[in-house]
Amino acid sequence: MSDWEVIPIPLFGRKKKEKEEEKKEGVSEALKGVLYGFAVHGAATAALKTRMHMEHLFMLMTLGDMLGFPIIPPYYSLKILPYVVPNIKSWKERLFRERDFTDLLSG
Amino acid sequence: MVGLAEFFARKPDIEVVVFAGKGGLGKTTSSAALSYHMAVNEGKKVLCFSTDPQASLSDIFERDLFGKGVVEVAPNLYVVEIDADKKIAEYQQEIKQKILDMYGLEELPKEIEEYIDSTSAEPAMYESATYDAMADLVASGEYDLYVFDMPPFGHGVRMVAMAEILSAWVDKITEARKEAAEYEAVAATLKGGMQTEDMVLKELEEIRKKMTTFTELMTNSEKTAFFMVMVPEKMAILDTERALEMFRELNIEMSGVVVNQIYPRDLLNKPDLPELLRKKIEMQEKHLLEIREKFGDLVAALIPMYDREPKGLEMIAKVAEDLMHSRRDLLWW
Amino acid sequence: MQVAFLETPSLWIIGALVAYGFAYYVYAKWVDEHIWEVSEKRVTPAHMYLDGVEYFPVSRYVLYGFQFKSIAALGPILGPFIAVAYGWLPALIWIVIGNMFIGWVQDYSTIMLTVRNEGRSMGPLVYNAIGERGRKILLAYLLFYLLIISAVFIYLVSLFWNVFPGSFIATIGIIITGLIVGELLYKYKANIFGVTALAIILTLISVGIGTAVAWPPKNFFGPWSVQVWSIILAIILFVGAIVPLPKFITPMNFVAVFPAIGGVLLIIFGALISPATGIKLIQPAFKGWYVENVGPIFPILFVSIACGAISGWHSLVSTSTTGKQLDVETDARPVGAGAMLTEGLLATSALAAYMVVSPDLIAKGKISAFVNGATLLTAPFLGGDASKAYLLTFFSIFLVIYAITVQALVTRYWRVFSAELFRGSWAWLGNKYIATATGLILPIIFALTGSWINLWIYFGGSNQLLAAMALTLVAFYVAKMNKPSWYSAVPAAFMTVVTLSALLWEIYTFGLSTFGIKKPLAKPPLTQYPGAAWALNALFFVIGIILFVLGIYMSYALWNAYFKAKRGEVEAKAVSP
Repeated sequence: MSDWEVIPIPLFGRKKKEKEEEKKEGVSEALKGVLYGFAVHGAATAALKTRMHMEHLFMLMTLGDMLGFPIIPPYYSLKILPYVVPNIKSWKERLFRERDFTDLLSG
Repeated sequence: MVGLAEFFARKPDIEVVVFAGKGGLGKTTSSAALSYHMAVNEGKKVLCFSTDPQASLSDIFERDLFGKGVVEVAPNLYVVEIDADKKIAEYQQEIKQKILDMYGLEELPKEIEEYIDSTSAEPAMYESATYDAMADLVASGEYDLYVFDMPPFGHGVRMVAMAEILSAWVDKITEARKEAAEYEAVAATLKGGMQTEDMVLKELEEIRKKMTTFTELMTNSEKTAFFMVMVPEKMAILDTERALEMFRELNIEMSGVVVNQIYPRDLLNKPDLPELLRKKIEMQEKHLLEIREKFGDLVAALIPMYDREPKGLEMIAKVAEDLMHSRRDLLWW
Repeated sequence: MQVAFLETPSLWIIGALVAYGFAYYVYAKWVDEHIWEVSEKRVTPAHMYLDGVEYFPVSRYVLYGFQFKSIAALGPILGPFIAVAYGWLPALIWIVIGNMFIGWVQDYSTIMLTVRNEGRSMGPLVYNAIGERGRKILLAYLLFYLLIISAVFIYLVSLFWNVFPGSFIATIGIIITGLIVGELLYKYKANIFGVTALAIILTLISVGIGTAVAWPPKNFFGPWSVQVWSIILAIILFVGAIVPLPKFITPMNFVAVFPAIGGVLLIIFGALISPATGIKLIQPAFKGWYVENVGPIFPILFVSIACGAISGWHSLVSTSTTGKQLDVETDARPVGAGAMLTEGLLATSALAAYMVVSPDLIAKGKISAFVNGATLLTAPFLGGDASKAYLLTFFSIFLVIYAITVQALVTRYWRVFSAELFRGSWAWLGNKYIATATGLILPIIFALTGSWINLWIYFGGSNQLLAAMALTLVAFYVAKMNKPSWYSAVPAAFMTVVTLSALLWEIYTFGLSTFGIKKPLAKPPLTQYPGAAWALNALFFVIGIILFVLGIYMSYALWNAYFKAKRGEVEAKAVSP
């Protein structure tokens, strides 16, 4: 229902959603959007961010040796690999992105 | 009275027997002999498992078993000799195919392919593959008794340590993953969206279940027996002591020590005994007394030095007899 | 009941609306098209670095709502209260002019800075302009800034709880509503519309219970009542800060939204229909150039209406989140300028509430003035005298909830910054529990003097100084693009002068008491302990000097960078490590 908010990357081994249909911008859409932004967007972003930190931990543990941190024998991490293939790129990007204290503010 | 027969009389519920120790000391022989005895003499359905790349089960049973899957070499006696390298290669291929299928790709991203290929070089990969194969076999529950000839990584006990590490690791990621999924769920509810099933978590739970079941079995001293195979030599004594220490740390009960390649006592009475051999036997006496002193009641079986290599079913039957009921003339104390 | 149109706040609200319309449709549009030359075709960081977590495109409506919620706090509501001490006209002029030429310029332009600089936030943007030391000083500055905001907000909430009987019970009711909502949403995955309806109903019931119970009475805990309330609030905030976000803060924010929006709409509506309801404007338009205990109109007026005219806080929101989620460049104006001008409207409507209360309330520094004014404006169409008691509780809760939700965020930021700043042998100060505790205890100590107006001026001053820095930073980047930078440089210069002067004024004020020339600024019961009152004054004197020195350094470095950029001497620095 709340397709004004599109998160196009499946965060973890999930099927990609079909591309969201183009939608017309009605007044009610706009109002709903504003209300969503006002009431929920910050919380949703914060939740996603907290989740991202969890995911870091998770990815690091499962695929750490991809970055040169050998954490466990890769036998079982290979089992997980297929599901996280779409995340690897953004995970690495996030991990290596410059991060400043002012980036921590949102949420 | 020394001999494994006594041990099995005391513990009738044993399902798994592991022979550990350095390579070349008679682990494989002991495994084969025990398996033979249990299958042929006691009519149990037995699986004998080895991963030794030197393919010694093939030597013992005089058949090419390496990488051939489960083979019945005698009634009720099944033998499997894992080709870990081949298994790893197949596993990698399976993962690659899965990625291709899941995302409908023509070819793998270069980075992913390189990563998968690079894992073969990891020594730990070899261990995990072996371990996983063992877990799978035990989980199948098709056999009355599983006899594992542990590959010579360390003392073989590392496998158990790894089970614990892996289990703790899976616990941690499962937890992190669950927590991550919870936050995702929060974000999703806030957006009014639906939750999707999480395949990763499911997969993790499966791995974990497999591991905990296996580890529980392995650490249950009523169901699993660990025997260290050694020879009466200084190095072997030191190694066995170290292994005992490791067992203690892992809270695993070491069931006993199998001492192999013992010269019978009355050999010394032979007048024409070559001087070199006499010296050697005298040395051995010293070591055996040390073994007696250090391991005491843990000494579970004594196997003599044979005049020929233990090969073929006939010879194995003989070893089995010695393993189950050790000869008195091997008792040096 | 009919009164002359001009005797009501209505005209001024309409006038402000027209001015904001001009700012949005003419001035901002011109800047958008001719200076930034926005294009729908240029790829924004939200698409460039799309990761579904920090970077992802969000529709302009959602971002507008988000931006407005993040920037609207107590500033535009309570700021005008201090400003009205000079009469409502100077306050109105500054709110309107500030919004038209300074406020939206900062909010919009900082979004554009992030958009055009690969999604960088304030820290790296400052680093690129003036280097690592500037980034570090900004961090230190922000720490003081957060402490001061905390002191003001914690003190004000405590004051409201003390002054409005029943407001504490209503607050607890809303907190419980938040917990219920959280459980329903996350644990039972309840439908969001149903939960929303439930949240609104429970909020209204909470206000009703608070009104009916009207307990505990004022000064319930004796002379130190406000401080006792502060400690109670600190405990609530501490728990809120250490439990996971979805357990407390997130649902609480969600619940808080509805009284917040409702309150603003009611006041604006009340002010617009004041000719019909007969609520008259009874404050004098102008009272004087100097107000005892507040200070001279310049610079104090310009820092007192903190977020209502211009606020540095907004630049942090714009660069840390909004700029990373902007879908297309053309959305920057509706989101950045649109949200700020709406905030201007909020400030104007708050001002309207002060316009209609008796000058006596303002002169006595009665913080309840806003609540009284808002009740006056809205009671006529919401049930008249019968509903006054309810509305008083409602509008006090409106303030409390605004303050608590922002404060919960500020406490979190303090903790995050502490973890960032304190390293090595000081790392324990960044510990989750210790940092949260210090972030709550220090502000309570700060607020002991009870002279919240001075605290407010520090808050406004540091906040506006941050805005001055952000505007100078914008001017620097615009000059680097070889575009006309005056639109940001002129406001930046004005704000730099105003805020540094305001800090100097406060240093002077606290200096007088520190060096024994005047009695320390303090309110009962602290006045009974002159030693402690003096120590706190001296502390504020020192804090003022620290803020001033940090501010001078940052201003100097940024202006220096700006003039170099104008002369074309700037080479792009490497990206921050």
